[in-house]
Amino acid sequence: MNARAVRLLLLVVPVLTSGAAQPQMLPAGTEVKLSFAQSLSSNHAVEGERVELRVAEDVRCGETVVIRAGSRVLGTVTVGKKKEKYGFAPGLAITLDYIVTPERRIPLTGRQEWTRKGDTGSDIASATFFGVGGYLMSRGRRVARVEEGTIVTAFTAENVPLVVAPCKPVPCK
Amino acid sequence: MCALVATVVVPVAHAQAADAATGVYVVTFRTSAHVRTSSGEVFHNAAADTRRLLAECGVTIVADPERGFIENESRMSVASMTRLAREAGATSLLLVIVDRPFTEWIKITLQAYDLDGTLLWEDKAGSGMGGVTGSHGYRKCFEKLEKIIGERAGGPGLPAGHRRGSSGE
Repeated sequence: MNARAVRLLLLVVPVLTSGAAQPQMLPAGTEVKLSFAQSLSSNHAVEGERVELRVAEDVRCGETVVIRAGSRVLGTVTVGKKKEKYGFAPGLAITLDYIVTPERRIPLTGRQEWTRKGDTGSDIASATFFGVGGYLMSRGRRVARVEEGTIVTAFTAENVPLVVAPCKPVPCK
Repeated sequence: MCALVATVVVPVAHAQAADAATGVYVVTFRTSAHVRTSSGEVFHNAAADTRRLLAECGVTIVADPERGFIENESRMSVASMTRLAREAGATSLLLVIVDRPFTEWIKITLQAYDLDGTLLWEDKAGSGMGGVTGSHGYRKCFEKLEKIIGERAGGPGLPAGHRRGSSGE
């Protein structure tokens, strides 16, 4: 009897486990292309300020679109001006926080940074006319700038379940 | 039965949603000149006072579900702002630009846009250089702004529900 039961279990269990539907997931670490929906510069961005971006391309899992292009994305300035005063920041960096979809927020990982760029011609001209002081002033005017529409890359921070809810018709009474 | 409920309930629900969605999305931008010569506190006070004036004139303000109200120095295109306004359920966009020109203590420019990004109207309120301190200029500027918003409220770009005080509030 026991041997028969064991044999039955050996037959049934694999069938049940293979039949159990695993929810489809967009895996963590999936690349997402984002586009800046605003401009940003080291002269204006304050640390902690929110940054607006958009998903640049549909993110698909097979044929299913999981994240639509145009979805809103929010980031945060992590390197910028310390206060809302006139001044220069050492550089410019943001973290990419999450995508806003109608169903949920999808957390992202990814950090983007830009270095301050200057105009070499302006540096030389300033140094020629005003010496070391002019050169330092010219260096101080260097700015890290990101234009609206710039494309950056982020990655999903966790598995995203595909929203394909089973259709359950509600009986009408 | 279902069909009957659907025909009765759905249009009502849509009408309520349309009523609730009527409002203006307010974005406040600080110019470089204001950053150079004034303080962040003045900027945020100006943004809050402008919203207070709008509310007092009965203008329905739609807050951003993610950020509340956008107040910053970084530039954003009108297309991006109108998209945010549409997503928040607003019917128009009001861009408030806080400036500190050389000849004035403070200058506030209001630009109203529809959701297609068309400029509906623009108005400016400046303080001039009268008075000894900036706070005098600030008060003067907001007196002018109150007049402008009072005239514009209920018109294109500034959908008004009811005027505060007129209904005994």
